[in-house]
Amino acid sequence: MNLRYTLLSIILLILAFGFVLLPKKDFSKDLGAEDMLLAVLDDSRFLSTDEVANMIINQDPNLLLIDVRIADQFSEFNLRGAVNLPLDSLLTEGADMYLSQTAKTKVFYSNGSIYSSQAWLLSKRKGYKNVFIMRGGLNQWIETIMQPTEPKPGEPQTAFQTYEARKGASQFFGGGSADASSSGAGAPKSGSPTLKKGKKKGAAGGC
Amino acid sequence: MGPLIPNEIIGANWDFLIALLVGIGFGYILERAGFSSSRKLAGVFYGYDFVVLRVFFTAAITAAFGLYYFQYFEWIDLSMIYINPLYLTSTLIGGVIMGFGFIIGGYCPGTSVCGAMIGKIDAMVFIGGIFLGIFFYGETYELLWKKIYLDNFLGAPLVFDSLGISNALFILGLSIAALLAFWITAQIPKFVKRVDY
Repeated sequence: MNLRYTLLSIILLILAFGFVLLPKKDFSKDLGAEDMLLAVLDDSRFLSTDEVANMIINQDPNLLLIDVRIADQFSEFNLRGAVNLPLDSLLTEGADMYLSQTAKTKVFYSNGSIYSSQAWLLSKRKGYKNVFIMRGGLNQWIETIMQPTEPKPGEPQTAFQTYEARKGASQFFGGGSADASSSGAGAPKSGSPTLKKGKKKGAAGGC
Repeated sequence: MGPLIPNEIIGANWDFLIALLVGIGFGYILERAGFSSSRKLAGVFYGYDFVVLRVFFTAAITAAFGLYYFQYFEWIDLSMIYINPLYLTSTLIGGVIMGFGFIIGGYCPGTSVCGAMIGKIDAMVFIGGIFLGIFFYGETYELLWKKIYLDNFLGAPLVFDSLGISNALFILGLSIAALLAFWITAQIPKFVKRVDY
């Protein structure tokens, strides 16, 4: 046998045995228990309904709303531009397409906070970045954005500013407090945003 | 670090240039290895020439070593590498058809282009056949093939996971199998009638 072939065979075997003998490394990107605990304690995973509403109205290109409820509920009502990834399909390949986009701000929502929190835990553990929860879910959304309640006189000025903004948002989404006879919930097909952009905050309280 | 484009280390437009360079390199190697001759390629089935087996087996092992050593040094993130999904039924049927095509035509799709480029008429006919086949399959996919094609979908399993052994052990086994195959196939032509081509 040719010397060159022998040498190449020996190199091949060295590489192969070397790879067997190398100490094992963990390449999985799953979050470890400690990191997970820290992440759970961190409150920044929540976005308020106001923040989400603002992002939708301003057509934030990085926003990706993810509805984790079942498909029936999704087709009945959903937030504008949301995709439907029911909780049990969250770890499939189809969902990975959405969740692995690191540049997007991915916001989970459900009716309350429980399913969206579960979705957040799963995706965080899987190592997806930039995932958030809409605090309070759609219930909170209806309460604050679609049917905002007017603050009582004597409440701080910021409450009134928030109310103004919510009323604008409500009109944009076709909610109850719109003066025009827009119909029910659900995002309107067209219509220009009528949100009164949050006034620049003056010095609060006094001179 | 890698893969370079998904990690945005280089722009996505580079993939065309890289594909071009890899393609030129691939074609050059095929031609230099003599793969533009259908007689040489068919030789592996008749037992007078085993270059095909050696080249492709070596390529597979080199790629395996490259990827796993790169992963070990954390130069590449293998979880980001696309793995062809396995549709068992269509893979088996396709493999049989491909094998017969290889024996009858004397080319595989890549080498036929190589052969056509140096003016082999049989290679050009082979490429014509490829396009006819693609056209026929594409036009009748919904009607005839869709069910067979999507049958027995198994996801993207890895062979060492299915066997329940570590990837290192599997690659070691593969390397030994390759060396044995190289040695055995080097002996076979001695017993087979010599073919000049």
